[in-house]
Amino acid sequence: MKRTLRRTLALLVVAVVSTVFASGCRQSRQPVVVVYTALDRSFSEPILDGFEKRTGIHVLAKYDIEATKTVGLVNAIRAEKERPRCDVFWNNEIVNTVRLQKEGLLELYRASASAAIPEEFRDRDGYWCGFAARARVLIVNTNLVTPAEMPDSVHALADSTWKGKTGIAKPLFGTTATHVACLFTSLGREKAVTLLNSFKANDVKIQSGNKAVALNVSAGILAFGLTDTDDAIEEVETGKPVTIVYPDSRPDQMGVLFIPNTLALIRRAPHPEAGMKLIEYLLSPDVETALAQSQSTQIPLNPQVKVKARVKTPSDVKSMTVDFSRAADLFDEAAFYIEKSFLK
Amino acid sequence: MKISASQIAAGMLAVLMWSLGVLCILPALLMLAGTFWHEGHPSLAHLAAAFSDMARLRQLFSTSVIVAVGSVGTSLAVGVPTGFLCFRTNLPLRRGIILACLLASCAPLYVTATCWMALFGMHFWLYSPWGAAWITGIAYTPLVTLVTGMAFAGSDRELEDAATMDTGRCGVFWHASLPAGSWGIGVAALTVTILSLWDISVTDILMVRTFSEEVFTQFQLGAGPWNAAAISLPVILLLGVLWLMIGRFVGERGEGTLWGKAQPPRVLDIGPMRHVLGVLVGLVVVAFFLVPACALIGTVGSVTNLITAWRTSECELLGTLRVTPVAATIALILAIPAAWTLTRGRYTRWPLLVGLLLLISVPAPIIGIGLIKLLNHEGISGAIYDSEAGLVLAYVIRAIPFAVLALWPAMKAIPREAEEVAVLDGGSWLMKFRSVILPATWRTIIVAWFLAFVLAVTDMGASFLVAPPGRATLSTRFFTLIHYGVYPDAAGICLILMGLVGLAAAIMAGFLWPIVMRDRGDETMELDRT
Repeated sequence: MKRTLRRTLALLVVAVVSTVFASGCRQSRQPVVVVYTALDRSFSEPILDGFEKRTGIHVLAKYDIEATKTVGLVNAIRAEKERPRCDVFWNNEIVNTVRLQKEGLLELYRASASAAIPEEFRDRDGYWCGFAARARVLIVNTNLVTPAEMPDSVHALADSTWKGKTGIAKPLFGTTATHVACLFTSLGREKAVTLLNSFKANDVKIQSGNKAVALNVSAGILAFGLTDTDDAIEEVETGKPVTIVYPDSRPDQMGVLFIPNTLALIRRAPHPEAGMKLIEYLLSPDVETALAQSQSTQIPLNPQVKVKARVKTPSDVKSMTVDFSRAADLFDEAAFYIEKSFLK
Repeated sequence: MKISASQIAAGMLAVLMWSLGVLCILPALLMLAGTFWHEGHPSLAHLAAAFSDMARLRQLFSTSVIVAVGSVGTSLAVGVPTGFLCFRTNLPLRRGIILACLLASCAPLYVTATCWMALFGMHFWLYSPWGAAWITGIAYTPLVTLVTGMAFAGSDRELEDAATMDTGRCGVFWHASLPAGSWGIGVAALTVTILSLWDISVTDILMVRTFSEEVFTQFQLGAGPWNAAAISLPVILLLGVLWLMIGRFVGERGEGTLWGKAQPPRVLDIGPMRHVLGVLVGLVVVAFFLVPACALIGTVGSVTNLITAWRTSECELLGTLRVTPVAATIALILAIPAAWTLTRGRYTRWPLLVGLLLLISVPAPIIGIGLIKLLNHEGISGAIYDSEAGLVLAYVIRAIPFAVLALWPAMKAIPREAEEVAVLDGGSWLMKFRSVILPATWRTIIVAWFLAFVLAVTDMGASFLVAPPGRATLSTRFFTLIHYGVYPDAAGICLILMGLVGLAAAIMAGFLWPIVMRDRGDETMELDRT
């Protein structure tokens, strides 16, 4: 009896352990593609499901965590560089993609679909391509801010009228970090540091993320804050007392920053052909249309996409001219300043 | 000398377990060694870069200490008396309170934070270090209740009976019951300290900047993971001191007597106060657990939303519940001989202590990167990394130190006479385990397993990095949903998880309760009125 019990327990243990180990031993003949995506799962998953249905290629996706946006995936790609597991990196911003390119972790692949994307949103050599952008905007609480007081520039975050009542997301991560790097590029280091110092002097509240900025403005805790269009539009469309302002869009101002999603093939990817197919699919007008019509309201960059965006596009407002490669070069300098001076 | 098959098998098993143990420590060692290496030679460059801004780091560290101290204070102040009352007295509704604590322990920390945010809205008192300390302390109170309660339940009956001869109820508690339960208090305090020091989920949601965020800051500065690993050095020093204090305390505790440990402690009759205390403890449970739970239920709103939550997160839920019990069991299997080695080992004790200290001190994302660097190569290690086994290993690494912490004092209390009898009978270590160690520590083993299970389910930092593509963990899913506010999906997943664990706990209790009741009998000790 005891021997039988022992044997049964031993078999059970072997079965469980084998199940765990066997999950990595893919014997199936179905082709796969591995994508690391920083775009929120609720928006990217339906797109990836569509690719799987259309091509029969099984998509294995790894999603990021909001709080430390992109840091996890980017560092995973770096740590895995000796034996990459990822085929395609779908980033929801651009600077970290360019940083990976400069570290030699991306594969050259000029997708045919990328030809339609404006030059300023794709790498001239073909290591990455942008699509489906978001704009950096001010979300303003209309109960707290009158039309006459409406801010029209990011400089308004330093307006002493609103001391302690404005907010930005953590400037070391995500699109806010990209925005800071772009300010260093567009304005130059001195002016960018002066601007950020003025934010600090005006007690700008550092929030956990762009969504938190939007939520706190909607709730009236903040008068206005800097966030992305996808986070802001949700508050508008759910009837909250907020409006979206596209800052610095006058002809004499620096322009609105549009940050694209970016796609890149990883160097020595395990499934490069499947990765290329995925990139072609994601750059197709159908995908940009779907993303524009989704809750995330991504802004199509492909002129062939005719869907009416629910937010303003580079065709509607003056956009900031940015050399994203230079922004990536200046990222470390900007991050150093943020760490040493801004986050005290 | 002829060696038997069972001796060979025992030897192979010992080698396998030591190898697994070394494998668990290697990622942390690898990352810490890397902090002293730069551009091909030994260097302090990473340390210099990581600690270049001491003023800012001091401020972050002091905020982390406030959160940790506040969390420990809150959880112990409520959890210790609740644990004693529920496990050692005839408090009314104690079984229901224990079940509530069991369920509440399974709620990830960030879920508890979300419950309180749902209750109070976005009020600034919550968005401060003390608010974070309150939330973290409340979140860990159920765990503290269970751990300290089980420690009190292992009191030595002989000592307590002897104490009643000489002193009153307070004296019995002070001289007999409290020392017996002190290991549980120490373990609970150290666990809450470690978890709150490195937690980023609650402090991130409440916008409190702490030392743990510095790890991610260093990652983002592009210097590789080495600066981030260097950040853990002050925490290693701090926790090392606490670890040594706990170890010294456990080492000085006397072992139990053979007779005292063979009998379960008596149930203390707290007299007419039982109803008052029952209401008080019940109110505390209502305030700390039921009210936030009702906020969760209110957020879910309907059964349809609950079903939707299940459907959208079924893979993560079932995948996590498939893997985490395996990880908890492996952690326990490794923790048992480790705890025994700490108790009886002579030359192996100190290396083991250092290894365990590294595992609790090094932040989870660093462990994750260390695992990638260790496993992500062609061959067997690559196969492990590509499968869920890598994820299991990440969970095991996070859970082992706490399982050892829970088991160590209980093993220390096993009388040497009992062990010597087993040795004289010529039994193997396995026989010694079955006949001596297991009967004396089965309650603690259950607590240790449960602790390992909870830590595995709620881990995010290491498991997120190591999880194979296509295999998101429940904590990753939770955190992403919760970061957007309190949505029905996130609340629904939490309720489903608590329901499933509650069902498992109820089934377990159904098997164990008759054994516990049979052992206790109806011996109740009225506290002496002398």
